[in-house]
Amino acid sequence: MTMASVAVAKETEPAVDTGSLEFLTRMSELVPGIINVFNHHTMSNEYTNRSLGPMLGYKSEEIIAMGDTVISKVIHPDDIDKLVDYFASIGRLKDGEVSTFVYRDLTKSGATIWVRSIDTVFERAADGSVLRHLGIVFDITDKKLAEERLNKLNRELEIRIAERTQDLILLNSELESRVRARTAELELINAELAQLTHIATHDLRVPVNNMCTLTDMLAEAGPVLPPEHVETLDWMRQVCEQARFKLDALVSVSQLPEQVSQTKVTLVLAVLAQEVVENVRARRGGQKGLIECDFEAAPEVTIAEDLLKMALETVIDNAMAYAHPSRRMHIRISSSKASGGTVIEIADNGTGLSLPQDEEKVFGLFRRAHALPTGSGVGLYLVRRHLNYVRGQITVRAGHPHGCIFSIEIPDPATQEARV
Amino acid sequence: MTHQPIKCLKKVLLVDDDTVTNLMHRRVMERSGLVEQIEVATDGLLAIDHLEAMRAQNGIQPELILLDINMPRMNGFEFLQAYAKLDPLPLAQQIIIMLSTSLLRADRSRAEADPNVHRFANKPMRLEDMLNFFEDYQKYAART
Repeated sequence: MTMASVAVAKETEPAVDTGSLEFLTRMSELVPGIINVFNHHTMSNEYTNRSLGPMLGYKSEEIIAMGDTVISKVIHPDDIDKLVDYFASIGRLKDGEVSTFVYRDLTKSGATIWVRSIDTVFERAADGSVLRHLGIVFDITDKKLAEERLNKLNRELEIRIAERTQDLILLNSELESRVRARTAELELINAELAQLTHIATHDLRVPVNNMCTLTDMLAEAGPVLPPEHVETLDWMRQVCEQARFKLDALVSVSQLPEQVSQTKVTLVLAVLAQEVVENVRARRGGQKGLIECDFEAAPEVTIAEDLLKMALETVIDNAMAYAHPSRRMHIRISSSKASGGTVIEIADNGTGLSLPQDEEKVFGLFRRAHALPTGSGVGLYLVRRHLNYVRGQITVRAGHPHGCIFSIEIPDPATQEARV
Repeated sequence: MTHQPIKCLKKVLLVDDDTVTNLMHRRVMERSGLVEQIEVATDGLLAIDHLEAMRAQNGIQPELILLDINMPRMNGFEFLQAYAKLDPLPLAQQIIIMLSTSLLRADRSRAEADPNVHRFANKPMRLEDMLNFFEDYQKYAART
């Protein structure tokens, strides 16, 4: 039996003349790689489409001349045993099964080339053992070298990543340590500032109070003083009151963290608003006008009660203080649910503000947006600071067609973490 | 070297929201006998209104404006912005002195950087300060 007759009989029967050796020869010339048929009984190649020689830099005659020593001369010594094992494994292949093996050949010049052998059972002996197998061997040196380069690059990259990760861990650790040090410094500065404010306000209170008392004592001599001195004494009294008021405000601001209640309770807005409105109305001598509430969309809110009460009192008191003289006062207090919390809005039809430029004056300490009526410049500042402590906020925007709208945003209880 | 005798000013405009400060400044000026008329504006907006009204009525413009920083509605710096937008007066002889108790260096630098601010001074103003301001005005008026 010849290779050609078997192959033609098995592969090309439907379309090719079984005697067409020319077809097979040309096909085998076109196929890259070395097609071979190996006899497992004689342990030798019976057919190859082209000589192994040129691939390894040998002439065909040189390969033939090697005889039985060909394997030891052209196979890389480290791969000989593996190749022998592979050949043995081919003997255990089932019909139609394909096996692959990658190994190294040595060229005549001593260089290594990588090849891949793909093999299948071609013919069995009468006892069923494999008599011949059909294989094809490809030169995959370029691919293997590319893989090796890629693997090398990957290894280098992994090393660099590991080094960089180590650097980052180190930097992170340094950063954490610097943040800890800076936090400690800031805590110290904060404590010193708090102490300084405490000392300044309390120590200043003594001379200011003394000045007030001395002014009163001087005023007792009023009847014998020239009119200009009486006037001056009156100014001094006003100045003393101003100083006392500002000192009290500074004490309130410096004690802000201590004033924020940590006890959150669920409040029914309708009840709280009614209490606040009654308080403010009483303080303002029963000022006339309409104050309406609508808490249907968000009837309850969870927050420290004194904080919300203080915020509502301040904003509603402002709305009443800055009512427009020629319009009937109308204040509307409402609530709504927003992403992450509840918003309470107080809308009025008062004298309004020039926004956004007045916003800084409205919420700044000792700042005022209006000349009259005179305000302290403390209330809304404290409201904003208090709300900020629980991650809430207060903002103002222009009302339509008149007045302004204050929005108090109260975060959900879980996010009301005090920033003390 | 002899000093020029200080001439009387026709009008001084006090721009300050603090009642007592205004009363003290008024008294100092009245005692000096060097000011014929003292006007008070309790914020920048009222001061601008006064200046515009004087232009409209062809009235007396203040030669000296004593300007506070921290005031409601329109503060001293906002006044300076609005003042810069006023049409320049022909033959205008007017200087602005910024008065403040501010200890902030930034406030002083900002005031001194404004081309319309003649100088920055602490308040309350005493008689000597006022005489200095009047002298400043006279020098300024002589140059223009």
